[in-house]
Amino acid sequence: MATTSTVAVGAGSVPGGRRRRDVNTLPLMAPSVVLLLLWMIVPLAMTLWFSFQYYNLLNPFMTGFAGLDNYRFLLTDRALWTSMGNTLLLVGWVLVITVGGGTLLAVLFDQEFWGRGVARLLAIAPFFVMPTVSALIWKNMLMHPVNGLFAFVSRTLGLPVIDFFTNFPLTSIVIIVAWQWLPFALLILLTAIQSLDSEQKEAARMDGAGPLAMFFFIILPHLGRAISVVIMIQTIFLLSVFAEIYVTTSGGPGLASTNLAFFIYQRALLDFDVGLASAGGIIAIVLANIVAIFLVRSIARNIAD
Amino acid sequence: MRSSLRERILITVLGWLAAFLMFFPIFWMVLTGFKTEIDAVSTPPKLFFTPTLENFEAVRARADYVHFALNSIIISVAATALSILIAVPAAYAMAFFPKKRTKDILLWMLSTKMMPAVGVLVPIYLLAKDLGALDTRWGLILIYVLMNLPIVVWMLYTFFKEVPKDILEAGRMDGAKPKQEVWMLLLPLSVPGIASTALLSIILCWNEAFWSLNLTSSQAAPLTTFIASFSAPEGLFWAKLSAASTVAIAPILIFGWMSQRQLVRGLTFGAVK
Amino acid sequence: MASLTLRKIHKSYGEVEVIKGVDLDIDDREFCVFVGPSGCGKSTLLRMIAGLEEITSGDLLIDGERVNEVPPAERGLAMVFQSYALYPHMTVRDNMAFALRLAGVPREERYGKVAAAAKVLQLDQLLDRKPRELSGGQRQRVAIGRAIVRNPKVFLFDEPLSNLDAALRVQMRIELARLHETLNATMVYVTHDQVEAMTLADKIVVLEGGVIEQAGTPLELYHHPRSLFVAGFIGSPRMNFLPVTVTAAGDGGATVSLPGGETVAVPVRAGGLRPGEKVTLGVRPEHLQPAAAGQLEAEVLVVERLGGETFLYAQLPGGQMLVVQADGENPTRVHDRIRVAVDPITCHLFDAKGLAVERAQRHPLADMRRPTARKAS
Repeated sequence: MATTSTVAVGAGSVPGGRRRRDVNTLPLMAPSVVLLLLWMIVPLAMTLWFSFQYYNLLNPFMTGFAGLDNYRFLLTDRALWTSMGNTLLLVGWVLVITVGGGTLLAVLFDQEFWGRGVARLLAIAPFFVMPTVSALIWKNMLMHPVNGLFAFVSRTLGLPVIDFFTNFPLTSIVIIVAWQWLPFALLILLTAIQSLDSEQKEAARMDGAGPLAMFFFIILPHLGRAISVVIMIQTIFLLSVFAEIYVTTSGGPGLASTNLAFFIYQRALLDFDVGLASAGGIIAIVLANIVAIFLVRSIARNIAD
Repeated sequence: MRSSLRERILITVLGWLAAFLMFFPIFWMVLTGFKTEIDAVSTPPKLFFTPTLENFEAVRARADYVHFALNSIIISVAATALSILIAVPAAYAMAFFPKKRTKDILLWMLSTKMMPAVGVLVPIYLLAKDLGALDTRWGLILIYVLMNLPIVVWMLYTFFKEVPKDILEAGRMDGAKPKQEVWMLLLPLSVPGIASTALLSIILCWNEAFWSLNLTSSQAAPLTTFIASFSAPEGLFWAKLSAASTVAIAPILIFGWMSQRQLVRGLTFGAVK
Repeated sequence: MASLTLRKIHKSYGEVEVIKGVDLDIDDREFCVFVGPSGCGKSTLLRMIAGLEEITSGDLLIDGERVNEVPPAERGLAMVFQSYALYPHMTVRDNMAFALRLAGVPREERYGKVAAAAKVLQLDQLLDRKPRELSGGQRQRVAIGRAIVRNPKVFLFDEPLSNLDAALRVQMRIELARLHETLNATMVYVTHDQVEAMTLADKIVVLEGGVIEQAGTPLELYHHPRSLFVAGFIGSPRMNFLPVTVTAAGDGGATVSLPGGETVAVPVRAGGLRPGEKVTLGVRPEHLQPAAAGQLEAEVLVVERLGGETFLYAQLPGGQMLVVQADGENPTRVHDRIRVAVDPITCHLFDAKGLAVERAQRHPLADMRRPTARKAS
C-alpha cells in the first residue's frame, strides 16, 4: 500500500488538498449506477424493439416485424413535426419568460421592503402547486371564456373576450407552465444575487456604477452559473410537460397544443398503437438527447465542478 | 447610501404587486372553494360573499379523499427515503473519493433525467402490467425512486463536498472507521443538506403527474389523479373542484412554506457558493 | 515519550514530486517546527507523519518502529488542524471525548479525562457549549484539548495559530510553550511564521521545494544559516544582502569591497574563496548602526518609527536597498544621507551558489538545547 496512489490528481487540485486514499468505491456506487442503468437500458431496449414491430392492442392479428414502417409512418405524419415544433416552442418560451421574469423578480426581492418575507412566500407559492391543479385553476377560473376572471375583466374594459384555449392554446399552456416555474427561477436567482459579495457592489458604486450599470456589469455576470442551473433543470422537466395539456386542451384544438409527450401518449394509450407510440418515443428520446448534448456539454460541466 | 423613503415605498408597492399577481390564482381558487356553486360562476365574479363550508363537506363526503391523500403521503415519503438511502453511498464515494470517471458518472446520471418519460411509457406500462405493479403503491414508489435518484445523488454530492475535509480527517485521527466516519460525522454534519434534498424530492413526488396519471387509477392513486378525475365530468362544479384542489395542495404548500429556507439551500444545486 | 525518524521520505502526486527525500530525527520531548514558504511541502510532510497522506517511498519510524502502513489513529498521534476541525454537532465535551468514545473507553473515564484536560486549558465552563458558540481562541483551546485528552506520544500542529488575531496569537504561543513544558510531549509544529518558529522550537526545520534546507536550533539558524535562503527566511526584518567582490581571502577571513569602495574583513573560513570572486555579503538590520565613521553611505527613503526602535530603509549609491535597525531616539528623517557602520563579526558571506562560507567562530548560544529534550536512543 505504500506505493503510488492510483488516483490521478486533477489539474485544479492542490497537493495536500482532497485526500487520496485508495478506496474501492464500487460497492458504494453500485446500487445507484445499476438501478439507473436498468432504468435507462431496459425500457429503452423494449421501446426500440416495439418500434420495429406492428403492435396494436386493438388489432391483435396484425403483428410481426414492421421494419421502418412505424418510423416512416410517423416521420411523414405532419402531426409529429407539429408536436415536435410545439415542444421546442413550449420549452423555449417558458425558459425565456422564467429566466427573464425570474431575474427581474429576484432583483426586486433583493431590495429591502416592508413585508418582504411574506411577499416572497406568496410569490413562490405556485412552485408547490401540482400541475393538474394549476391547470384547472387557469382553465376554469381565469381563462374560461364565459365565467373566467379574464373574460370578466375584458368585458368590463369593453374589450373583446379572448377564448384562450380555443384561439391561443399553446400560448395558454406556456402561460400556465411559466407561472409554475417562475418561482423556481426566482428562488435560485435570488439566492445567487444574495450571495454576491457586498463589497464588490460597494466597490462598483465607488467606481460610479448606477443601478443599470450595476445590473449589467456586476449582477448579471454573477448570475451566469445560476442561470445555467435554471435552464438545465427546467429543460429536463419542460421537455415532458404533460399534465397541463392533459387537463386543459387535450392537445387541441387539432394539434395546436400537442407536444411530443402528449402525442405519444395519444398514440399509445388512446389509439393503443404500441409500435407507433414506441417509434414516437424513440424520436422523443433522440430529440431530448440532442438537447441534452447541448445542455450537458455546455452547462453541466461547469456546474459539477 | 440609504434609499430614500419614496424609493422604498415604490419598491414595496412593486414587490407586493408582483407577489399578489403570482399568488392570485391560488388565492382565487381558495376563495372559490368557499363559495356556493352559484356564487362561483356568477358574473361579475364575487369578491364578497357569504362563505360556506359545504364544498369541503362534499369533498370529505367523497370518502376517498383521505385515501388519495394517504397515497400521496406514503408514496412521496417512501420514495424519498428510499432514494436517499440508495444515493448516500454513491454521493459519499463521489464527493470524497473522486476518480477519473466520477464527473462523467455524475453527468450520465443526470442525463438519464433528460430521457423523456413518454419515450419509455409503453414498455414501463407493459412491464408494470406484467409485474402486477399497475395501480400499486410500490410500483409508483419504485418509479419515483428511479425518477428522482439522479437529482438526489447530485444534491447530496454538492452538500457532501461542502463538508470541510479537515473534520473528517480529524475523525480519522481520532480513530473513526469509514462507517463511523459516515454515521457519526458526515451524516450529522449534512443534516441540513439531506433535509433539503428530502424536501425537494417529496415535493417532486407529490406533484408528479405523468406516471401517476398513467400507472394508477384508484387503489394507489395519489392526489394528482384525484384532481384530474375532477377535470372532466365534474369540472362544472367549480366550487367543489376548488375545495378539492385546496385540500390537495394545502399540505404541500404549507410544508413548502415552512421549509422554504431549507429548500432554497438545496435548490441551488451547487450553483451558488 | 516518543522519537520520530524520517528516512528518505518521498511524496509524489502522479508525476509531481512534492517531497524529494527528507531525512530527519526528532527527539523525544523535542519541540520541532517545520517552517518554510507556502508550497514548500511542510504541511504535506506533517500529514504524512499523521497518516493522512500516503508515503510514496521512504520510512517513517516512531520510537524505532516503522509505521508507514499504520492507520492514523493507531500511531499514537494527535493533530491540531489549522481550521481546528471541531465537530460542529457535538458539545465541547463530546468533541474532546470523541477519540476515547471510538476507542471504547467507558463514559465515566472519558468525561473524567476531559474534565482534567479542560482544567488545564481553562475550558471547564465551556464544556456544554457547541463550537459555534465559542470564540476563535476558545475553539483553538478545544482543538488542543481534544489532542491532549488522547494522551498522545506526539502532538502535530498544522499552522494552529494562523486564524487568530495578532494579540491572541502571542498569548496562545506562550500557552503552547507552557503546555509543552507541562505535558513533556514530543511536538511537531508547522508554521510559515518565523517568529513562531524562533520562539517555540527546540529544533527548526527549514523546508524549501520539498527538501530540508537546514535543521537546527533557532539560534544556530540565526547565527549560522547554511544558505542565502535560510539567512533570508529567519530573522525579521530580513537580512540585507549586498553583492561584493573578494579582494583578499585566507583561513583567517576574507576581505571584501563594499559598494562605495570601503572594505571590510569578514572572519570566515575563506580558504575556498579567490580574490576577484563575486560573493554576497549578508548582514542583519539589527547589526547595522548609523555612525559618522560608517563604511557605507546611503540615502534614507523611508523611516518606520516603532517607538522603541526605528527602521531606516536606505538606498546605496548602486541602487541596492539597505534596512538598518536604529534605536528609537534616532532623529534621521527621510532624504537624509547617513553613514552606516558594518561590524565585521556580524557579517555572513555566501558564495556564488548561495551557500554560506563557514564563520570563523561558532556562536556560543547556537547549540544551546532546552533541558527537556533528550536524544533519541
